[in-house]
Amino acid sequence: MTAVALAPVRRRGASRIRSVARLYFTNPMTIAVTPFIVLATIFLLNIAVWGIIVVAAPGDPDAADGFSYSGASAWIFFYMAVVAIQAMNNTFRLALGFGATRRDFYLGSTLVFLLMSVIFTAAITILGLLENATNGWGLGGHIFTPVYFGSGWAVRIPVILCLFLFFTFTGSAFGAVFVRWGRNGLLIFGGILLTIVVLIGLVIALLDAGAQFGAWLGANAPFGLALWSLVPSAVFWIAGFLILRGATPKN
Amino acid sequence: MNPITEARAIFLQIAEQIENDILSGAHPEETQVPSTNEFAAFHRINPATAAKGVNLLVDRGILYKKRGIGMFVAEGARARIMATRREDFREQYVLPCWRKPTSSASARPRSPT
Amino acid sequence: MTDDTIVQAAGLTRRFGDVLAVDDASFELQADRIYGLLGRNGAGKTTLMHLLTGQDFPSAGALEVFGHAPAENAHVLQQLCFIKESQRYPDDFRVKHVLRSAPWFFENWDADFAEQLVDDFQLPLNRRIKKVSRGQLSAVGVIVGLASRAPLTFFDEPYLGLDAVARQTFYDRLLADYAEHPRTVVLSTHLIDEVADLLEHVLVIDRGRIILDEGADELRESATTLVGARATVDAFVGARDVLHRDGIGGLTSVTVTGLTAPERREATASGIELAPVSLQQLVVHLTRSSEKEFA
Repeated sequence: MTAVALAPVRRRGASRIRSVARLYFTNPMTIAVTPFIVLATIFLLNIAVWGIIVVAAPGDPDAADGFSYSGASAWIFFYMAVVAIQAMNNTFRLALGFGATRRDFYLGSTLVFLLMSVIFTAAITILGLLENATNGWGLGGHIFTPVYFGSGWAVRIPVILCLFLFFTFTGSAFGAVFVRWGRNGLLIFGGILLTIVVLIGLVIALLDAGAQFGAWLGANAPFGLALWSLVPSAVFWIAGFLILRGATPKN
Repeated sequence: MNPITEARAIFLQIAEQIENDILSGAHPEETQVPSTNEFAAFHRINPATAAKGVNLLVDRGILYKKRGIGMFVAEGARARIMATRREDFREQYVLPCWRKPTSSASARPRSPT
Repeated sequence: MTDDTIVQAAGLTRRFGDVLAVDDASFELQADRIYGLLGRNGAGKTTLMHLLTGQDFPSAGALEVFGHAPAENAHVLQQLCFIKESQRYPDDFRVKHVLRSAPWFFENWDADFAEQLVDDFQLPLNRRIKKVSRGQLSAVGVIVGLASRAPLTFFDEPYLGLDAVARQTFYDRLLADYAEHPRTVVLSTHLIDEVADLLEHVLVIDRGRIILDEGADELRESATTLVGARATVDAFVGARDVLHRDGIGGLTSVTVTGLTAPERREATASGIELAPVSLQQLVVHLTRSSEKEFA
């Protein structure tokens, strides 16, 4: 027989993790193109709405003030959370089908989420700089520099980055729960999280510390809060990993 | 038509098929026969099974291996095949028939009467 | 265990609640053979392959693939390729994206071979994977499974929706490529007659239990159906193990195992007709008789 021995296969961890990461960019549409379309849509809709307001109520100072409180850019964070959830579901099954371990899959996905967080933080920063330079697109608007992100780039950049990390890692954890325990698991997981939040609220109320907590929030927002968000982000990241390690792709 | 339809092990059928082709002159002596992989592909069978059939004929001296080239029909293969088949035929059919009239019970020990 | 053993399972069990999907399975797989994993739907074929490929975790028992427990072992899993009927792909994938990303995971990937197979199956590369037909989806799996040339490849019902011509193309390409690049292939199927001649070894699983683990050639000779007058056949069968019995009027047909050559001659001489038992019939008989055991 003209037998040709198959090459022994032994790839290093870094290369395996990179393969998983590349899987997300095989069709760059979902992860690299659509988010920008989301951003562009948010942008155009805002400009259109503001244009209408400016035309309808010229010179109204309340309107101009309202433009600083645009929550439009929140959509991009939600979008990234959805990408993370989908990744855990569909990309996970394919990666396992291609012989990846859960660990390599999770690390590769994390790499992608970190990368995307950095890229979109940079994108929002550039758009924010443009916004400032054009006096809010000629309308005094703040789509990419709303007050929630704080003032000054030294604060905004880490705040935006922390927000992206929080949403993607929360998404990973929810996605992992869905893959492992299905829809019911998701409900229970959501219920547990809600209970924790309510309990914290109760403790604050019982300690009669509502005013203090409010003051603490006010004093730390947004930079300190952003840094604090790294704690739940890390918890979600670790939880996502532990949950996914025991997950099996069901039919 | 695919000849692989009988209950006997496929490798035996492959060996027999090659023998038939040697008898019919399709594979003259001292010429190369197809490789086991070609046999496998043609008959749509597992290559290991085809190899088993070919090796059976090597053991019987019907085929021989030329290193690095392939399988060849041995000199005198036809005569050897015919001799073996005559012997088998006698074993299977002639002897039982020949014995039958003298001792029918020994040939059909369990058959009811 | 020999040097060629690449899979070794001992008492392998997978429990889902009260159900034993894989029940105390012990077997070995040797390198460079084509195995048939046969059994009815729901017999445990897919669960067993999920265990072997580390996609699921055993409830009990020992399992080694290439010398290690497969679950979460990157060095083991890199040697495997598992093509399953229910494989899911990312929502935004087109056919070409599957074939573009597969080589990043399979060291032995043969791009030319993959391209030739795309032609063979007339696969629309640009179509969204969610929009392709069942048969085309199966073809995607078949192409990945063949072109990846993984040392241990599993095909789980890989042909759903493929017509007879396309299935034959799959079997032909598999045989030709296996001959060139020997590797271990496990074909899980219930179209047994179609693949019977491709198999070197057969495992039959029924209700999670391995009820047969035998070379295909031995199996082919192992069972025979005897057809003839009831009295004659019954007398010949005697106390033998009967796999299957059927009858109409005074005629009866009985399937038995382990007839020797002299016994076959004896049967013929007494006027019994001998008919071969196909692998499919054999599996049907075996799974039926194991059912009786349980009943």
